[in-house]
Amino acid sequence: MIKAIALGNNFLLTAIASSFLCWLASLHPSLLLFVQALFAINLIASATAWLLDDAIIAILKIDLLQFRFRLIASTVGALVGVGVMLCRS
Amino acid sequence: MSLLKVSTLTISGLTLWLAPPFIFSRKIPLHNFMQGLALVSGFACCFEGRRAALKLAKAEEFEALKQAALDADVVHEISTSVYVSEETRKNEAELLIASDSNRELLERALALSSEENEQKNEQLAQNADAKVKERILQLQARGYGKAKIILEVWGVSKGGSQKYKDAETLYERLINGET
Repeated sequence: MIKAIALGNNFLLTAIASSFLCWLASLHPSLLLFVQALFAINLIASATAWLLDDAIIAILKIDLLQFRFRLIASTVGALVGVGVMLCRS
Repeated sequence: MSLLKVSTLTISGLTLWLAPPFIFSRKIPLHNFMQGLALVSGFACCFEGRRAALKLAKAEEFEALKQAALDADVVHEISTSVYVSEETRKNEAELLIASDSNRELLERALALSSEENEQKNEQLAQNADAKVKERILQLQARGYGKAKIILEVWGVSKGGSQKYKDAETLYERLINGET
């Protein structure tokens, strides 16, 4: 139960962080570019992590399944956060 | 208490994340600022909630380990007591068996010694009888009568006494050659 809450909080943290970046992007066009760059870097990092998963799990010393779960959860969280800010009034 | 705190923080974070974008307008600067503030607050709430949840999970894990150790101790104690009682019972049984065999040996030894004594006693009695018979025969050869022989050998004079009767019976038995 408690572990599930901790995982849920992880997801919320990712989503809120991406929402906050979206909010920042809405403040100024140059900040929009900055946030876009950040999301691009995040995308590249995620893709690299998917490709180099074996090396990364050896470094981080975690289970492959756990690593993939974290990658998927962070991607979904970021997408949900962006979606929330795009849907706002 | 901690679970309540974690739950409250999580729900607060969720509310602070989802509610402001749909309540406030992004066109009004104050509303926009409030949205940013709510997002930061929501992030902080979720961060604290996550930290508390991990701490609680660790504490629960520790409690579970402690409980498992206690259970293992109890199981170990029970198995030790069972083993000890089993061993004690076994030792008692072995002692009993050993004492039984000792008793058997003693009984056998006693039986053997009593048999030997009986044989010895019988031999002694036979020897004594033979001596008395020889003496009686000597006295008869001298011409002694029954009463005089009894008086000479057993020291009992003729009369109705029990001693004389016993001596007479013995005399008769020896003379007649009974054993």
